[in-house]
Amino acid sequence: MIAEIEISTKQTMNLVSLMEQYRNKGRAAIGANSLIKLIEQNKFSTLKVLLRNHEDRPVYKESELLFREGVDFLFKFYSLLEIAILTGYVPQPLPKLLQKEILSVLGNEQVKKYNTYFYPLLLPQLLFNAIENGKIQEPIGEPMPFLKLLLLDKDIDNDVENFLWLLDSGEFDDYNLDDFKITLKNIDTIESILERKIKERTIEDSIFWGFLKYTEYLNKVGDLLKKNENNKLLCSALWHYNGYWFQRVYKTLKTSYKSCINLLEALSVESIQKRPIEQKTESNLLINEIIAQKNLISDSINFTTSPEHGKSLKRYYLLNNKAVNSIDFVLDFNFILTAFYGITKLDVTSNVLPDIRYPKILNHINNNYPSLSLAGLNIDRFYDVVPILNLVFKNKDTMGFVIFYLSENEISAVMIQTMQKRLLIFSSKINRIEEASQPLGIIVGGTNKIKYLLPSGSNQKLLTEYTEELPDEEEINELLNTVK
Amino acid sequence: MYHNLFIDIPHGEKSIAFCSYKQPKKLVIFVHGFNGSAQSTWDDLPEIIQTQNSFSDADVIFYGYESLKSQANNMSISLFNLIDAATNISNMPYPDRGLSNGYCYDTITIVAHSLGAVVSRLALLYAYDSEVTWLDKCKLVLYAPAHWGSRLPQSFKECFTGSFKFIQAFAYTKYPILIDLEEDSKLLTELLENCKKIIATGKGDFLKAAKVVWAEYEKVVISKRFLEDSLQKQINKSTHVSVCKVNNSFTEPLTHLITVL
Repeated sequence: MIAEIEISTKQTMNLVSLMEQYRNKGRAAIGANSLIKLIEQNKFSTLKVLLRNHEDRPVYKESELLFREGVDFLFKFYSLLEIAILTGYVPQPLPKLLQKEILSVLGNEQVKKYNTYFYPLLLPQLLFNAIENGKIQEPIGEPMPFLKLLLLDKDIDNDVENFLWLLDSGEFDDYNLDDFKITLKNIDTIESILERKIKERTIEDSIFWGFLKYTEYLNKVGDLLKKNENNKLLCSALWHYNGYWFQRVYKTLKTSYKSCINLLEALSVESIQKRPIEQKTESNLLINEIIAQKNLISDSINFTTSPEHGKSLKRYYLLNNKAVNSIDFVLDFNFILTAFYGITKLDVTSNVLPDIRYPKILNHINNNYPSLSLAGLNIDRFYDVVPILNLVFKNKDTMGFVIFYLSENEISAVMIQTMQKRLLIFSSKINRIEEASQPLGIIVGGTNKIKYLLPSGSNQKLLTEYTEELPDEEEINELLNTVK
Repeated sequence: MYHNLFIDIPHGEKSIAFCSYKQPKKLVIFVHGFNGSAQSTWDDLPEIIQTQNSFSDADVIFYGYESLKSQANNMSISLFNLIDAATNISNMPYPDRGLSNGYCYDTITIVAHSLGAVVSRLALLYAYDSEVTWLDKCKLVLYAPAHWGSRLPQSFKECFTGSFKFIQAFAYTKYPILIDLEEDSKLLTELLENCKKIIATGKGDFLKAAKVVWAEYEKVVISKRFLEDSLQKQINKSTHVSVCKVNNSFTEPLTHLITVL
């Protein structure tokens, strides 16, 4: 028995415990065993099917659901492990066997697609990146908030999982989110849910309880984020642990969620008002408390789920030179697209006159990306690309990348060539590579597939191989005039 | 930090244990009250103990149980089962710390809030009847104990907090436990009588609370000294619910506890 234990020994004990509880048992262990087996056997097409986007083809089979659930729990462990590393809770470098597993799992092409594009998770990517580059990660904070995060996670029980399944477009025997909203509109249904004994609870009851518990969970995570708001990077890492769900609530369900809370408040008040008149004072007090609580909850949901929290760690990932160097073609582009562009993009339509459309773009860039060197624009016509590039690079010194997401299905070779030309012009004439905090580049996506990533720093060769004659000075001036 | 990553333990509801990195000398068990939970009743205490030297040689259990769906007697038997199992470390799913099979703690401190105080004392009475060997190591620390019950048992609904505040509006029917917590209920009367009898034999020190802490704004339970419990303390501006919650800006409940450990 050691009286005073060394920090490194404690870290090793922590890692063993973390693995025992979050990796080596339960659903994570099932997921790891199945996934690693498929990877080792090179079952490429099986993995492609099993790890597909459920929006492309729904997942109904029990065996598939179990597999994906296990895989999600394994990624949850990787996310926790990354925060544990970032907070100095576990030692670095990780044991060789664990490193090998992480490289094999997270380096698999299908897995990458799954957790960078279909269901983006930043923390496992950071973990993979660091291990792949043999990097020791600098701690960004103390372990206590990590411990709190794990403690809060105990609130995620079966009821909450059922509710989240519904939020994720899931169904239980045709009972879906719309049906749940109907449940919430009926005071008698709610009363019977609350009074039903635990053994007699139905799946609908469980979802209702899960909804309440998850609301409480959002409150608690919000408190944790507030307590750590001075450490934005840590705050961001803690946020990303739930980032997928928070973004889902924020982007697509915030309004529904708020209306559910409003409805519950209205129902609560209605129920209290039915009480005998002699309880009037007590009832009024309770109504006031409930209204106050509702407002707190609404604020908390807005705060907790806000993607703003997630940006610091994304920046850390993207703007860290080593991390940027590791960006390769398709996969990290997918990450960038979903992580940045999905939230802050501007829809630009060619139906709006140029003298309105271009100032609007510039305003959008200046307001939304004041410190970023990356912007996202959704355009419906390719011919807008060049004027926009001129406009953005001319007016914003720090701008490095512009992501264009074209409504047109296919991006032709001619379009790519045009953009390459533009890049060369800017590279040579404006000398922006040195000025921008990122190497100059254009990232191009189509409606269905991502086509090209052209960062000038790492991909200069591709650009210089392009031999077609460049436009002359006059042509450039003419182009620039179009954006005045 | 003084403890290994917490471990789920197969007792009660969402109970967790923090094992000391060092050789443990103390066992501390936290027992929540009506509608409480293993952790939330104590707010940030599970993290804060990581920085408190008094807990550095303690294994700490935050015990959870279904306080709305059963009666106090059933709750106390479950708690007894946990304490009895936890006093023998080899029964628990703890990481290997090189401790011998028959390793014993020097002290066992049960820290209970509200209904948890009733459940804990009942569990100790059960332990007395079971003639366990660990009883004389036990100490009780109680926050807003409900051993005299409540003149208005509905007031326990004050314990619905946060998002669950909504439920207060609907939850007007009686939970079974509220019958046990009425003033002069059969259960509380028996508890009092049984404690009296054992204390009268001179073997009931384990039933005398080493510390009792009340909330200044206590509206839920009857605030009154119980038999030979130690001198009572009070926390200003606290309520029945907040009296045991510990966070970085409110550490008074912890200060009281530490004096007993």
